[in-house]
Amino acid sequence: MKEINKSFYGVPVLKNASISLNKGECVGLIGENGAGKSTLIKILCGAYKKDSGQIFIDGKEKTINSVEDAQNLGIRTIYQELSLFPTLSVAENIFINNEITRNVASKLSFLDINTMRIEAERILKDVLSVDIDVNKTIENIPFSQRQLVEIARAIYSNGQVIIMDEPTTGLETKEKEKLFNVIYDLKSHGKTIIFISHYLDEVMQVCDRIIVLRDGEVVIEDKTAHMTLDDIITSMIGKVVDNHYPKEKMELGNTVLKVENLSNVKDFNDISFDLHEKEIVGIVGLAGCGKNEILRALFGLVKWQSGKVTLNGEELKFKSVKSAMERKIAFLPAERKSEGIFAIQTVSWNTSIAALKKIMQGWKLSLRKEKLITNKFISELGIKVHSPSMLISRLSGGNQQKVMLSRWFLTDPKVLLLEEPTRGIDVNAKVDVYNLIMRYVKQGNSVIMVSSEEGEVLGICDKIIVIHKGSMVATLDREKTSLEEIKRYSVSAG
Amino acid sequence: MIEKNAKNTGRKKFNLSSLLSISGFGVVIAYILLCVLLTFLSRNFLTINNFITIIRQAVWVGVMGIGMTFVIATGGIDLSVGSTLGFAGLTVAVLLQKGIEVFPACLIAMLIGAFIGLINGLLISKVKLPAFIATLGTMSILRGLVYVYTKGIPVYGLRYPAFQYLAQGYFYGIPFPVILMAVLLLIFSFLMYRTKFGRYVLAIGSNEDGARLVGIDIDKIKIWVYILTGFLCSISGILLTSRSEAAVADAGSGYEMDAIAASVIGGTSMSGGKANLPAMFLGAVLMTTIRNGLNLTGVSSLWHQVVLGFVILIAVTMDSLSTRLLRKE
Repeated sequence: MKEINKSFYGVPVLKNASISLNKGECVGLIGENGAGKSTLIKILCGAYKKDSGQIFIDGKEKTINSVEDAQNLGIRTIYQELSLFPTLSVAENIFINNEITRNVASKLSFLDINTMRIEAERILKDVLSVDIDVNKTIENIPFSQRQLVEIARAIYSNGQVIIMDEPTTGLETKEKEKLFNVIYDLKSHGKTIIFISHYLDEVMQVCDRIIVLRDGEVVIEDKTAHMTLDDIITSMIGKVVDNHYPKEKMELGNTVLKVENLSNVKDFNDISFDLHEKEIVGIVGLAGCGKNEILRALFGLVKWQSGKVTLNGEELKFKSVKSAMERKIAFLPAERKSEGIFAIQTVSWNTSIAALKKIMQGWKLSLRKEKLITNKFISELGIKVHSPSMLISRLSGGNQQKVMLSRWFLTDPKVLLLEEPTRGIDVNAKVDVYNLIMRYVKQGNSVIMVSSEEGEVLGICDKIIVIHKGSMVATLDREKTSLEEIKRYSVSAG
Repeated sequence: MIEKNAKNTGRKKFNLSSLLSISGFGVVIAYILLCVLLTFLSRNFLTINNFITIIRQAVWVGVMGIGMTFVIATGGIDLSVGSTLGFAGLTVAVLLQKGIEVFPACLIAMLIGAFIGLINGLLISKVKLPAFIATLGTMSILRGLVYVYTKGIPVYGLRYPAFQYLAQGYFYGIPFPVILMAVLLLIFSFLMYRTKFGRYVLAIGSNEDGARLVGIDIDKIKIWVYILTGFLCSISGILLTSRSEAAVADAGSGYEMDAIAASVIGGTSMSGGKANLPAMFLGAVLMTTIRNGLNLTGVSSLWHQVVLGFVILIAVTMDSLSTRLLRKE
């Protein structure tokens, strides 16, 4: 791929990105969220059209305008969210849209189920050296095997370039080893693999070459043997430019929340930390490391098996979200669309829903009070909206997020749990959100924040807890740490 | 709504989409057109007596429709409403025949209706059955029980003045069921739009995950919604029994579709989160008017279902068109 350019709504996402792939090679493609990895991949497999640039295969220029084009050129993608049909059998999935048939009459042919079954077994055994019952349906085989079925499908349909997007997510160590062996096998069969992962140690283990993208540009492209983990991290992060974080140093107050040896085995283990008045604690780690579950446990959404949580000296045993709310805990979820807003309702409706008590007048909800309160938040938080009776779905992401904050501020929380508080909102709105968080803690409250943007965590948190595969690997002081250190702890156990 | 939109754009001009955005507006227009048409077709149509008949007939579906609208607003469905109506109607008839006073007989029938709702609610929220399946089951069981008990023979001859009054009496010249309907509409509209309960119902229908995260006890609200529906169905059942002075084995059968249609014609979204109770009643009146008009103009009753089907499709199409138009703007 040569000098690929792509912009969305005038914002360049890829700037003259050029990469090359050799036969029988595994290439690691890495970069921060938003670096342009997925855009580049989507252009290669035909999901997006490039603005400019060229794609050569075996030295000849090819046009890829659609997913079919890419398929015909032998490009296969194995997505994170698997694209198998859960109620069909393994064999049926491998041959979907590529069925082997037996001609009965000129226009009539039957599926040759037996041949497909035998062929499916052959691919799985000989090429991938795995033993999977091809008659079982996908929903009845373990998660780790489903991925192998997808790979088998890619091989059967004569895939030459196989793109694996975060293939190790959800796999155990042993299953991972198996997957890596499959990758080595595929290489020896002359296939090319693009391996995308946030787990840098895995990338370094399995890839021959590594390409690092940053802000839509290729910053490094070199043999793995020539690189160290630190090199990669530095090149991913680049120069830190910003200082738009309105952080103020404040004297911390008493301990508000104490978490001791919290475990639920499945998602997180042995988590301990203290939260003080006026403190912001940040929890970081890779996707799927358990950081979100820890936060959700504190709001009564995820159960824990052992350990203790005390709030102002009183042990917390949540039965429900309601009991967490009664203790003055609030939670802002990351998935604004699916878990936050009530899209078909108005701004004022969305503001009051968590604290209807505040707008009650006896038995009755007072729409007048609701409007007054909403207007107060609109002006205080600078929400851009014509009137409180506008549908929330018509607001921009940043303004919706401010309405979400209003909703929770209205419940007068003492501890605010934030999950990705600035996801999907523009830079100015981000700064507004940071300011609101700072103003909130200044009033003597506390915040725990989970974020996949290490930069913002370093920017506004006092203490940063790094989680790796469910365990705490480091508790870092804001003033004594750096982005590089945080990153290093998150990507590998240390 | 119109005023607000006009303010926003800075001009008070006729604006089609803002008119369409008022839910229920489509039904009003459709209803007026229908009345004009029927006035030309039958000289008996535009009389006060005929209108009173129409409204009185719309009450059965209207009372049930209130419950149905709540259920649909949570994103659920209740197919057992017609059977609950039949079961409660039979209960009251049997109790009266056994010599029980009118008031306690009605009260017991209403409690049984509420209990059926409770069962539906538990099946849906605790056993986690899809609402469609759970209520399909109770619908069949209840109707079956009615047949088993009556062996298809109506329980008739319920000539108790106090009981007859419920569906046939007049209060200051207005039929009692019409007054009852108005009172129920007022109470339940208040419940839907001016109480926490109503907000929570709409919240669950708009976004169930979101509702959980603001501390709403989803199971509890859903169970109460089904209880309310069962209760309202039993009122419909009592009224129908009072009207015909008998409990017929297939009373209320097929009414679930009428109740759903009334809600949907009234602009309640099948995916939940939106509800308009007055417009639902208008929907019920619209359907009754069509039946009435077809009778008056001498169209065979065999054709009624066909015409009603078309009306439902047209009403819902208009609704979805106006939503799309709004979204484009």
